[in-house]
Amino acid sequence: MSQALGAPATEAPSRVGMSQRSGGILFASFALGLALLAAVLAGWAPLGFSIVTVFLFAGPHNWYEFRYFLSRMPVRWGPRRTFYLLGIGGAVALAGLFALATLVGRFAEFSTEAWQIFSSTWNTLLLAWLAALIWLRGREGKGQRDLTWVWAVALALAAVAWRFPAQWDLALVYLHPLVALCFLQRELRRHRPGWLPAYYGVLALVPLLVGLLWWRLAATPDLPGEDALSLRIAQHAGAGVMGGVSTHFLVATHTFLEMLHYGAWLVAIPLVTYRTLPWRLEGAPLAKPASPWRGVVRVAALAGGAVVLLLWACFLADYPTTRDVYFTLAMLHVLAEFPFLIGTV
Amino acid sequence: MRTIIGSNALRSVFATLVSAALLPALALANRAPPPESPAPIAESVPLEVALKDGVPLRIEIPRGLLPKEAREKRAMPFGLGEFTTFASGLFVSLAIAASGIWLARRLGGFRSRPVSNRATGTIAAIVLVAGVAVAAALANAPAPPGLKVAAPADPDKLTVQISIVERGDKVVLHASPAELTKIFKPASAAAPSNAPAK
Repeated sequence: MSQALGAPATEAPSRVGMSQRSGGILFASFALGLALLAAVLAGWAPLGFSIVTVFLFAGPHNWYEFRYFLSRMPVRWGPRRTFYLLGIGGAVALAGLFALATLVGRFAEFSTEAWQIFSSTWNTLLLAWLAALIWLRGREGKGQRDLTWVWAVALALAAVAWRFPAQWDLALVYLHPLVALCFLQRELRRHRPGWLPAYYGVLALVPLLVGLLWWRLAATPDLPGEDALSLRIAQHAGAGVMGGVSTHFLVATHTFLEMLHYGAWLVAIPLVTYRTLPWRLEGAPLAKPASPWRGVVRVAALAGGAVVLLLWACFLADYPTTRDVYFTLAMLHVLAEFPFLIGTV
Repeated sequence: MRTIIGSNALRSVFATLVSAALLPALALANRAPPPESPAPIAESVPLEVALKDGVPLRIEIPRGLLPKEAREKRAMPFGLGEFTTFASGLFVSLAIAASGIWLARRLGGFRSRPVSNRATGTIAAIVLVAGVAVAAALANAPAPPGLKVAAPADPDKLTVQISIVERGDKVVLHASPAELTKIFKPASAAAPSNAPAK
């Protein structure tokens, strides 16, 4: 009897483990297929792929990020009040400053040096904000950690941002897509820990794919387009900063990483995190019936959906201008990721 | 209770850190010399060709020969370009000082294992040597390049790097003899059709 009862008890976890493992392999196969497809398309037609991916996914992925932040934001902040106030306030202030300077700079025709000074100042504020968030995080709870080292690291990075402003900005452009992969790792750890080994395997292949792009494209001639949009895309990917490196490789790599970013936010994170359709907000703490924020959240989600439609319409009307405006305003979502990333460490 | 600053060992650490923080200032001693007073723009400027094997194709234009607006950009309020170097050095100093404060706090936490003066001296020596080495290495850094021209898309095209230099009164073309031949080849090839028949 004890054996008969014991047998299923020992089999059940192994079945769970098997199903987790096979689920992980399926997930990794899908992710790898997507990454390979993105690398091939980005290498084959970098400009076209960049234009299409930004048009299709830029708006929706912002909405999905907003949806994700809703699911992570508690109704009552409690001891994390200062952290969230600083996180949200800092993200809005820094994004506003960035947009304002871009607007003023266009009309006032800032010199390159003036831009560098602004960029370095803004990056210093960004680092101070991030350091403050990490430091506050260390002071939470009973097991407080002394994270004062973060100030020294932030100051050292500020020195780099002042010394190499263009390279620093470019590093942020390339690092931003990878932040989504960190969020995906967090969500897998929370909801599907059995998938993590397969996910790490796929992650290890990302540098290999970038290496393949380098091998195939680094020595190729620059991209041929001389129109404003082609030049703008190449400049965004680092043309002019990475002298001597083919813009074909730069644009392909940037577009490939952006596609991973979009894939993580639009497919992988919703698949792993939500047990319902993403536009059903009931699962988010702020949207629950008892939450005083319920109405605001619903209006914000609807407004976000409207902005996505508006963005598509504007892309159809004037793609280059809309792309410029989008990448200026999208700084808010880039910054908003940090408090949530730091908050889940 | 004895304060952190009151400890002899930590006082030495602070003194060392302050010294180390001042070291990057030495690197500024190697900053570019101030631009010469701008000369009036000449209507014709001599072009000097400096031939040497293996040198990349480069044109050097003295800043004094540039238009007034371009010259003034460099001479804007106490040199914005230099300000970034100054700010970078300042943040390096602050980072070192902040590291020292963090270290002092960490070491201060281990009251059961007080830091000996010998250990402090060793740390101080390492920081000083590292600081001097960094300052000396930076002092030998090359001047930042002027305007860079992107790599050519067409293999038949030549890339010429144009640098704005602070001194001089003539434009200098640096090239290897082989590249110079390449430059003038199209002209000589086109010559027969345009040149008067002999």
